[in-house]
Amino acid sequence: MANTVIGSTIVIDGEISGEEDLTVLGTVKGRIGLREHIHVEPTGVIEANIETATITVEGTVTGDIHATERAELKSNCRVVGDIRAPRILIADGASFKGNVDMEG
Amino acid sequence: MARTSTSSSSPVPPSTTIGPTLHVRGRILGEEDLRIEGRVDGAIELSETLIVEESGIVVAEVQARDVVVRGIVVGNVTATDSVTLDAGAKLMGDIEAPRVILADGAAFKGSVKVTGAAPRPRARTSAGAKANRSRASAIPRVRAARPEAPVPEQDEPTVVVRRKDVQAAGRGETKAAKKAPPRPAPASAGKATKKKAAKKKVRPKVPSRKKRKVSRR
Repeated sequence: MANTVIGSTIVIDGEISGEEDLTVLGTVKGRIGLREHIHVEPTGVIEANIETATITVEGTVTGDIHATERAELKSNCRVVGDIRAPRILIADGASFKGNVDMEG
Repeated sequence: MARTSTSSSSPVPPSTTIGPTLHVRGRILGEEDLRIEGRVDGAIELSETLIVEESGIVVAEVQARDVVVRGIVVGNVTATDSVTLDAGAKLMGDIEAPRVILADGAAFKGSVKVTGAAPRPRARTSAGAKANRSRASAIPRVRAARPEAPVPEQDEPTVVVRRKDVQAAGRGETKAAKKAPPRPAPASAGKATKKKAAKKKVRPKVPSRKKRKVSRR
C-alpha cells in the first residue's frame, strides 16, 4: 500500500480525503477523512477534525478525533478535542483535554 | 526525518508524497520536495521541487523552484528555475519559468513566458563550437561529427510544442524533403513543377515553430 507522507516543512490548509495510510510530520489544518491509518509523528501538528479507522498520535492534535476502530495517544503527545472510538489507548505521559466516547 | 524511520515500523520515503488515492483540497505550502501521485485541488507553493507523477492530478496554481510533470496539471505554473513536461504529461495553463522543457509526447495548452535571463549552461553548444574550431586544423574525419550540427532546435529557449501526430507528419515531411530535395528542375520543365517545388521547400518549416499556438490563450 502506498504511503502518503506529509513532510516536516509542509503545511496543508484544507481537506484531505483518501483510502490509504497517512503519516504526518508537518502541519495539517482543516479536515482529514481517511479509511485507513493516520500516524502523527512527534513533529506533526494537526488542527483539524479527523475521521479515520485507526490513529496513533505522537505529536499534537487540536480537533475532534473519530476513529472507527482505534485511537492511540502515545506519551508526549498533546491532544485537545473529543475522541470517539471503540478502543482508546492513552499512554502515560500523554497530554489530553476533551471528552471520550467509547460507544462508537 | 531520521527520527521518523526509527519511530515508525515501515521505512518512510524521504520526500513528502501525496499517495494515489489521496485527495487534498486546499493549499499546500512547504520547503521540501513534494511528489504527487494523487489529486490536489487548490494551490501549491514550494521552495523545492514539485513532481506530479503519472497518476497525479493537480488542479491548482503552482509555484515552486522546479516543476516536473508526468501527469495532469490544470492551472498556471510558475517556477523560479525550471518547468519540465515529460512524455505523457498534460498541462493546461500558463507556464512562467527561466527554463521550460517539453518532452516529446507531452500535451500542453497555454502560454509560455520564459522569464529572467538566467544564463543556462550550454554544454552542447560550446562543445559544438570547440569541434568547429578543431575542425579547421583537424584531418577531414570531421564528417562523423557532423550529425551534431543540426541542434538549433535546442538552442531556442522558447518551446516547441509537439503533438505526436503533428510532429510525425512534420517529420515525415521534413525527411522527405531532405531525402529528395526539390531540385531546380531543368529549364525545360513546365511552370507547374516549379510551383510545386517552391511549395515543398517552404512547408517543412511550419510545424516545428508553433509560436502562434503558444501566444494564443
